[in-house]
Amino acid sequence: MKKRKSSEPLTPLKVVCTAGILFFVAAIFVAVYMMANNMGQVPGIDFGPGQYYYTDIPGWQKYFLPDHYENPVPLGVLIFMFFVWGFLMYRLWTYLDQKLK
Amino acid sequence: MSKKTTTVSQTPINDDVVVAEKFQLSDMLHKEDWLSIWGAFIIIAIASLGVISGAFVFKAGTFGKWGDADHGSFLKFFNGSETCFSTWGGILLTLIALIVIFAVSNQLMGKSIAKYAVAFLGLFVLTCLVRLISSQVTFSKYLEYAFWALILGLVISNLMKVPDWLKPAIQTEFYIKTGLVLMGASVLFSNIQKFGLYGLGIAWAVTPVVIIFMWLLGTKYLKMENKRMVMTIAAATSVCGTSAAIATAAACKAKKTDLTFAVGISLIFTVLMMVGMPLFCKVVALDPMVGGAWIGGTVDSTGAVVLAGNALGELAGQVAALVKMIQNILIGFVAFAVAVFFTTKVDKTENQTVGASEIWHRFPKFILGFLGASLFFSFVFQNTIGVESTAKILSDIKEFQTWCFALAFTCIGLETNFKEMAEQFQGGKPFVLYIVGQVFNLVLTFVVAWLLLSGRIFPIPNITV
Repeated sequence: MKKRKSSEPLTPLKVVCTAGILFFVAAIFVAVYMMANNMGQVPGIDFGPGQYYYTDIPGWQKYFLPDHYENPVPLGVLIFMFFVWGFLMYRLWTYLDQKLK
Repeated sequence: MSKKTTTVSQTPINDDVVVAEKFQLSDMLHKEDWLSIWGAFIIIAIASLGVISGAFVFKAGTFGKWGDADHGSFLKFFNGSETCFSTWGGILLTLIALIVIFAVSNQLMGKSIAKYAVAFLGLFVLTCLVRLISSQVTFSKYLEYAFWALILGLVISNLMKVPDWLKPAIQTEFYIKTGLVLMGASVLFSNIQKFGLYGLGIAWAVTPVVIIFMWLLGTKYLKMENKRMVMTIAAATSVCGTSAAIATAAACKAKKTDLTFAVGISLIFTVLMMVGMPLFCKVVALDPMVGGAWIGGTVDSTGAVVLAGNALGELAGQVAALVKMIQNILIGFVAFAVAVFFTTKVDKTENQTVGASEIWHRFPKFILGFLGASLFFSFVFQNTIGVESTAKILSDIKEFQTWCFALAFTCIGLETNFKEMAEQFQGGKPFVLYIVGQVFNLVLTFVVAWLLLSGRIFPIPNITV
């Protein structure tokens, strides 16, 4: 690992990055403590963060298949809004990426 | 300065010209991206045939949970009991299916089928070990296969040399692409209507804003040189953790260490948020519907979302699941947008125009398989064979998808060394990117969830539990 030269100034970015590393290390210890103590569990639910995607959840149909909300908006309208918003955000992304150097 | 156009040619002309081979129809039988699509489609087709005909079940095997009084010891998989035979029978079927698909694909790519088959057997044994470890009761809840595959691979590659005979099977991208096409089937676009405008507002309005914010933070303010890592972390934070990280990393052709980092940081903070957010909601007496939507829009892993939501109550759990369901749809579209963005904006030199043929050449084709599977299951299968049968097929192919990702993560571990990982830390910038991005995500999602669901502006939706 490179040693920081005494002449190198301690910039705000370096302070933020060091704080980020310390925060991350602390997060690891807290996460290990939580896992070791089985924290966050709910009686009757036998899964957790290890089930990354919805079909990873045992019996996912129970949570994701039934309709719990009567949607009054037609599917076509939702799909239209989905694509319009996605297109606008993509244009904003490319614009800002070029504009901000 | 005049613009230079991209030329599709087989010989280099100068540095500003992107050199590409012309697309040929034969690529569809010899290139990895296409072969990953066909391999996944074969698995989907056989599983679908089994469900529709009712004649057989084509489902990958896995280890059941072990490690407590209810589930027993892991020795149950080795003691000749019924559990032992059914478990290994399923795993043997998985091995046969995967080795046939991947070995034939390697033959079509011009590689030695015999060397690959031997190497794949070795890799599969290692992955079996990963899946056995991750089936332990506590590990299966909190970490699962990605973590243990990386750990096992890293231990082998850093403490001893990866044997040469194993190397032909180390094809991370191929397994990831095949797994992603399989995952595409479960991305049901019709689920977009499950929570109407409320779900669309919380999941879709926020996600791209967070991605753009994190992209600008990483590339412009933090000045991270590794843009692919920025993108992978941004997708993991804003969409849904590990699954989104895998898809985005493949779409922008990120390094394996970028994916490792994004998945690692996401797993750690998911545990923290899963425990911390319901506690916070209770302390400030937040409305369960707003709290559930907030959890659904921010916690990375879907399992953790359902758990954390239910910790606030059944209603919050249902709202959290509805919001996360819509976020799960976003994976393919975000991966598609990222692939287009990197193809047309990032992977080109200044003043260079990238033509349509070049976009097609560079575009990761497996995403077409992902979207194709998603659209087919969303609009054809669900409407013809019904929701229940579709769900049955998805359950059957899901375990094949998990095996593909577990193989990929084991390969990543085997290919990574600690020195290389340490270099990726870039003075701590990726940590800052994740932490600041996640805080922004938390604040923005909370504001949108409150605006939509608090009843102050819009009517409160009627959710049946």
